[in-house]
Amino acid sequence: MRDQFHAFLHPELEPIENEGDKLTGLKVAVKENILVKDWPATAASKILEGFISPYDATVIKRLKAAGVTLVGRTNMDDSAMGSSTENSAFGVTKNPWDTNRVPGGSSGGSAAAVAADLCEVALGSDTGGSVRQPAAFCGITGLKPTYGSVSRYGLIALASSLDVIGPLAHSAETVEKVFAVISGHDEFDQTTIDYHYESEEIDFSKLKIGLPKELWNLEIDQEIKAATQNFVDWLKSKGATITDVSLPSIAYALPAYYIILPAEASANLARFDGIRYQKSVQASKLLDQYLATRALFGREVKRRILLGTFVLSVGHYDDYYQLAVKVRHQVAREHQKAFESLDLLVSPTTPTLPFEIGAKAQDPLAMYQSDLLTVAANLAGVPALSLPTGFSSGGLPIGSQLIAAEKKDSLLLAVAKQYQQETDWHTRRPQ
Amino acid sequence: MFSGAIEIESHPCYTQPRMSELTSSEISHLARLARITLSSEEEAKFAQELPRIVEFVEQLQKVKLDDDLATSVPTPLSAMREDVVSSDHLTLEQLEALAPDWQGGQVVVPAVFGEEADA
Repeated sequence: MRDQFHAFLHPELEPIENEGDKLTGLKVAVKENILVKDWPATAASKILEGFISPYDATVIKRLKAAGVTLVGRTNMDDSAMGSSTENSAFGVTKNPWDTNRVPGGSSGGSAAAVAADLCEVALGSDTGGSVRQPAAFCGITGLKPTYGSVSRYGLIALASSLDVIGPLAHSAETVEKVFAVISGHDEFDQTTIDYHYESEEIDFSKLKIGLPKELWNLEIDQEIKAATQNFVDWLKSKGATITDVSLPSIAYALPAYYIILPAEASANLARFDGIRYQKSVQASKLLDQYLATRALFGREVKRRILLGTFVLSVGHYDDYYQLAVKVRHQVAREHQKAFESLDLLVSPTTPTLPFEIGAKAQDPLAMYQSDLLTVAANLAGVPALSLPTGFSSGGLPIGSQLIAAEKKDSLLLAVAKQYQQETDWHTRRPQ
Repeated sequence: MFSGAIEIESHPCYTQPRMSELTSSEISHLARLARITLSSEEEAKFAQELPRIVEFVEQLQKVKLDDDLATSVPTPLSAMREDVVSSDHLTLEQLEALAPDWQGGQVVVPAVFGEEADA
């Protein structure tokens, strides 16, 4: 199938078929920052040009053992930093619903590939919304699992305390099948928890749902709010109890995220030094080799590395990084407290409809606002899912977000599956 | 050991509390710390953008925080594991394929110490 959306990188790669029975023949695309042995892994960055993975990520090992067919590698923002895939060093991916618009990011290639039926499932990674936001922009279902429920071994690290690998597909049912296979403790990733996925049945009449007012009160497109309100009304019609809830620190989740993420990224990306990962701009002096090689990072990557260097430096550490960590703890604590009396939180996934290519590219702060509704779940480590809940009057997809307590990924999937049995948003396809 | 370390202590970046006054030279100092080259276009752009971003994150100073918050990142780390020797490792051939410069089973790097080096 022709990839007119530039969802895939390295189109010369032949699919890899595998023996196994849990997911036999399932066509899976893999985001360019998840390692597949003998396939390139550039994280869509010039600094990893030519790098061929020497091993499989744990999630890939598990999928291979389940019998999937790996169909290719999907485009993303450079080093997973971005919300539109415009930061890819190898060209932007177009949204299949409107090729003048972005598919979201950083897992934009994955979302577009699923939406265009170039694969059945794609793997993405979500650090601040990078699975959920592109899922919403492309009219598909995307899960950010509980932090630690999926191994990060073989995922090129962005922010190690925030990164989670998650599946994207049209239906929650398919997302669930893949999540069941890839999740679970891994001896190669010490941040994984003891986790055994089990599907659950729900009694909607017992479900207690909260609408976080700090999210709903943000500046959000009216059509997105309306679609999410319709989704809430559906939950109510099924017997769930809906209440407003306040998580005051969520209002500060985005600034806290944009301190913690750059800090961790600046540390994680220090390893790309022109010595070990294939790509190198050689020089006779060590410092010059570092400087010349690391000039290959994309602009947004450099921006965030500088920010991270700043917030971690002497004289600024307490006022920025340490403060952000405290705010993060508070955000996590407020989520825990909310889930003592509630089962789910519901909000829109994105503040805007998919925007035009180029519309936010010149304004980093405007781009960061794309993550307004999604970052809190990463800070708190709790699972969150985006599912299609409607379309704008102009035919653009709308996604709504479900958030649950730690390890309650099964609840998100159960609600989404039931909704998708009674609605057809997730079955629609771009023209 | 590195001349850069002495630069850090006396650099004006560390006597000024706010990044909103971040100048081009302070940004290029941060870039040097991070071992990144910026083009002059990037330096100029960042001189405009970074102060605005920092101003945005500074709103955290308004948050009312609980008193008993920990300051270490809350990752739920697994319990300690036993020291088990794993047979899973990369071969020398695989490492050779990845290293930009390789000689006799070792990665070649520019000099770290001595007259040739420049930290």
